[in-house]
Amino acid sequence: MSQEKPSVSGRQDEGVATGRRLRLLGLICMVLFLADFFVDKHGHHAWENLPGAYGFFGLLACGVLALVASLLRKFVERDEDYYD
Amino acid sequence: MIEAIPPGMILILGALILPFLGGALQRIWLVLLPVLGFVQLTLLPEGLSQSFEFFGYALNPVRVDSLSLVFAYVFYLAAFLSVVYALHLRDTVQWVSGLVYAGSAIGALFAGDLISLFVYWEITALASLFQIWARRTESAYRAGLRYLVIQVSSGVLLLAGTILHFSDTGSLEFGALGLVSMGTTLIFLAFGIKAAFPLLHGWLEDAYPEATVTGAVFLSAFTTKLAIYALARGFAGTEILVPIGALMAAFATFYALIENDLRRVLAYSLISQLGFMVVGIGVGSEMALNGTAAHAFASVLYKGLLFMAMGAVLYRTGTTRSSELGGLYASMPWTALLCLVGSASIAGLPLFSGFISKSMILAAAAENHYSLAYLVLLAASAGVVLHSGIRISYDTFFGPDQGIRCDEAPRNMRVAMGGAALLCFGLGVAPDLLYGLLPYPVDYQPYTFSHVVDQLQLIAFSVGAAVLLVRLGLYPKARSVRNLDIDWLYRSLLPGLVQFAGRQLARLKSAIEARALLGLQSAVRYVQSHHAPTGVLGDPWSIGATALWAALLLVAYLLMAYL
Amino acid sequence: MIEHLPALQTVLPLLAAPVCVLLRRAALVRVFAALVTWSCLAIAFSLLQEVLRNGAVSYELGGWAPPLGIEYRIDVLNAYVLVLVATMASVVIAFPLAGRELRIPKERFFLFYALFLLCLAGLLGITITGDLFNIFVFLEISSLSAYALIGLGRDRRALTAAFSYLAMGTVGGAFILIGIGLVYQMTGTLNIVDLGQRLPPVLGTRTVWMAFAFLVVGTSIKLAAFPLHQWLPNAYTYAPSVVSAFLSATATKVAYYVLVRLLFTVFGFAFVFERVQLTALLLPLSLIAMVVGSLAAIYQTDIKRLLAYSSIAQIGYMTLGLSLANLDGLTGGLVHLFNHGLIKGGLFLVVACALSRVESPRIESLRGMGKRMPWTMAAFVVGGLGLIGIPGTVGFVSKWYLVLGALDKGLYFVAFMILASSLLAVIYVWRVVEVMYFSDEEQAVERHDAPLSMLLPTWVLIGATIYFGFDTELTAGVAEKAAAYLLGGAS
Repeated sequence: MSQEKPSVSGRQDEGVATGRRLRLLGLICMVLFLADFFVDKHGHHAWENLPGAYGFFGLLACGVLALVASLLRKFVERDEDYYD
Repeated sequence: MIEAIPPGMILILGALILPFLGGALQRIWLVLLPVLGFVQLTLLPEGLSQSFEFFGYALNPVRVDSLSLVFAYVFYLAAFLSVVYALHLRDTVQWVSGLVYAGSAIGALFAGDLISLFVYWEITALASLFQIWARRTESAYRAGLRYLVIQVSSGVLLLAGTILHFSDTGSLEFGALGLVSMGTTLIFLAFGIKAAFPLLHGWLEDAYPEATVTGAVFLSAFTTKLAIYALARGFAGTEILVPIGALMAAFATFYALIENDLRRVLAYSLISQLGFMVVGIGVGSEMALNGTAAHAFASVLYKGLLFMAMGAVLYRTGTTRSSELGGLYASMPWTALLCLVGSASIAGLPLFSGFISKSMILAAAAENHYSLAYLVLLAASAGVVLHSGIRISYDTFFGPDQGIRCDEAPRNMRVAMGGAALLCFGLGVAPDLLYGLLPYPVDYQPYTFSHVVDQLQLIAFSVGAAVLLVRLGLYPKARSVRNLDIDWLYRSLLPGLVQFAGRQLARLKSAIEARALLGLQSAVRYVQSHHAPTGVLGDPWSIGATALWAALLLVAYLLMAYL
Repeated sequence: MIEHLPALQTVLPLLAAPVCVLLRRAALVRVFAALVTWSCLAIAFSLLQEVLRNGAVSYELGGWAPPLGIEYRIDVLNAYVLVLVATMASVVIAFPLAGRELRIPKERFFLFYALFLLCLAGLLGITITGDLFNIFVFLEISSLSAYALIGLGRDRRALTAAFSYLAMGTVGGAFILIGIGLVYQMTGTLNIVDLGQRLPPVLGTRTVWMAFAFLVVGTSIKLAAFPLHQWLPNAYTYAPSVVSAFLSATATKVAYYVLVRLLFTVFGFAFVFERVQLTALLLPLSLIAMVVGSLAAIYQTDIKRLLAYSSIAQIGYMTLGLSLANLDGLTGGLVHLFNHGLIKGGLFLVVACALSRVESPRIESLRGMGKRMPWTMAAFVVGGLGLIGIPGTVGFVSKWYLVLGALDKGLYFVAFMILASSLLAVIYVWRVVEVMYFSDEEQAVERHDAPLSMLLPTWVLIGATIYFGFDTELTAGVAEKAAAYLLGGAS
């Protein structure tokens, strides 16, 4: 069964996530986002009180992290037996 | 009576008996020791203090208070789980060194003075070395040497700082120190090396992935958390720690995202988790220090669990390269499931241990207006989902099948992982168990609706981000490469420089010799005939040279009359 | 009887030496020599007890009152050195002689014991006497017998080593004699205490300057202080290992004692450290000795030569303590005198144990010996830890005081150098340990350790390096008293 598993980290680009799995993830995100409207928030920063603030922050942060990490590769990547 | 033995000593002394036992008895003794130690710990009265005189200086090797106790409890748990995990070995060296290592780390937690701390500090360095060398490969041997040099340097700095501090204040007590003098700064650096401060962290990502399967589990628990304890004791509220910790959390995340060796991913992820604790110490409020202790407690368990899972993968498949692994769920379902628990804990999923500890540090940082640090830590929390959740658990066990078929992890490994997972889950469900042990009274409720929703959002959207990034082709894929880090300085640059300098010196020497020897050749030949191995002496300096030196010194002493 | 103990201390071994030649039978001589040496140890201990209880002891040899007659004067400093010398001699004498290390056949072993007792008498005499010329006489007795002891080595180069030691030692002896002559000319006395009182009025004169320079340089040669150390490596390398053990633990230590005595009791603190500024010359030389000696040790291929160069570095520590000239520094120097004696004596005995099973003292030939001779090699590791100065060993105690002494003077650089040269010691000890334990040869080796009669004395010394790392009452306690006495009496 594991053969059909999608690769989220994309080691194989053709193995993109299947629809059902993705839809489930989308649903969860949507529910959580909507739930935020019913929460009584009192964060320390004003932006924390916006609905979905943490979700979108996570999305943004992951994007930035991945981009910077890819950039970092340009500087530090060497052959695996570099030290040998 | 049992309180009379210094904590940790049960493990150290018990370990030394180990080589003389055989068969089942040896294994029973091995598992019994951490249990005995734990029992002793529960009997220790808080406030107990033992001191004695050591050539004129009052030493205080045992001092029991709540900060020491909370770390000691989790160290014993970790020692027990690690020992169970290592039970399949037939290698007494690893058992003995592991127990001595754990015992000395526990001993260090109770050191009431800096000299005792230094002694335990160096024993942990030496004992832990064998967890790396026991791999018995050339690269492990070399990594072990580098590890040793840096760990011992940390001890030397600690000793130097202690001496300076003592000559400043006349006190050897290990209490709050603060960055107030040269002495305490050296001590701070000594702690910083073991806590893997940025630029001082090279040893960790260099050595841990080289350790044995079981060694990495031992290593992940003690050294760094001991340093966190020491920082919390000596430097709570030192503001510089906030940017240092934030930097640790951030840069280690980048490296964790691009690293291929899964145990090295975990090493970087460990540094990033340490960053949270260092920020907590820097904030220094009661809640922050509670959070630091709680997070150290939780992270020993879930980090150990993740290292155990990756160790099991290495043990069964012979590799931890992410680029070669995938679909292992079919072969190792138990390991996969337990690893997921570890990932859920580190990511801070509600009902798991990371959720109830990490958030205390974050809340304390926000409360004390360290907004930038708060944002960095939050971003690092999102990054954890990518590297310690998806790369470690998902890709390895559920990713595209790479055709590897192997056995499930040995039973003792599964038991150890199961125990760790149970604790991770237990603490997440009943946080008051942990909160009761913390050094200050806890006024914090992790399970509020808004906190649960916020955290779930962060995790779910991070997973979503991963999917999006893959779709867009922006995700840093696992490749079999080597990523340079600070250890490049002493693994590549320094040897290169030395070689370069050596070559230049040799050139200089031959140039000088070519000129100087031309005139002196006949004289040199004459001297050589007397000094060659077959000659009078194989030694460069003769009686005449000594007489000459004696005359020169004599003149020097006489000349001093005129100064 | 009791009141004559000071005289017995030297007369006993001195008279016993010719008796050895008369007895001749190796086994008999060995027992006799051991009994004599152990009696010396008992005497030394009872003298130390007496001094600690009642203060300095003065003994008039032949009933002639000082300053005309020769006085034996024992205070806490030389009682302490007497104990060290007698202890080391007692352990070494118990160590069985190995025929393969000596050039003389078994039936002439009595010569070794005679020379050994002579040398012991000389060393004890230097330490105990309160008369400057007497010091010179005993110095020559001990040196001459030491040359002969070194010459007993099996290797032919032992003779050359003994010869060059003889030549350099004679230069040193001559310097000391010239110095004594000049001092006598200025004061008309040879008694050390008397000199301390009669010298101050004439301290400014050129003659006393000359005397000072000759005496310090002369003793520096005997002490093997850098750069006058070059007799030492060959002598220790080619001498029989037991001789190296005995001499390394006693001969240079006694020379150090003489230097301390000259500087503090004869010339006085004010002259030496305020007028002459000895520190300015001795401190840099000590630091260089620490570094150069350790560096040279790293590159040696012969384990005895490695230990010899390490001795030069360790002597650097001792002179460093002296040049700091404060309580902690001087305590460090004096305590290292004792501690290094234990360590180096123990390590040379380890080599003697090893040489009972291994052909050559080359480090290479110890390959894999960690498994074959576990007890011997473990002793080396423990001794090596002492050389490095790991806490819990005597080496740490010495370095602790030295670092405190340096910090007390605000010399951070010196404190740093002490720690840095410990790292060098890590390297040269490690080189040997690596060969012993971490060589790749996987062949099954059977255990074949040195005989118990050798291991026992070795472990007595090695065990003492650990014991005195914790119980510092006898070593640091007494050394501190001696240092306080010297500084108090001088300033």
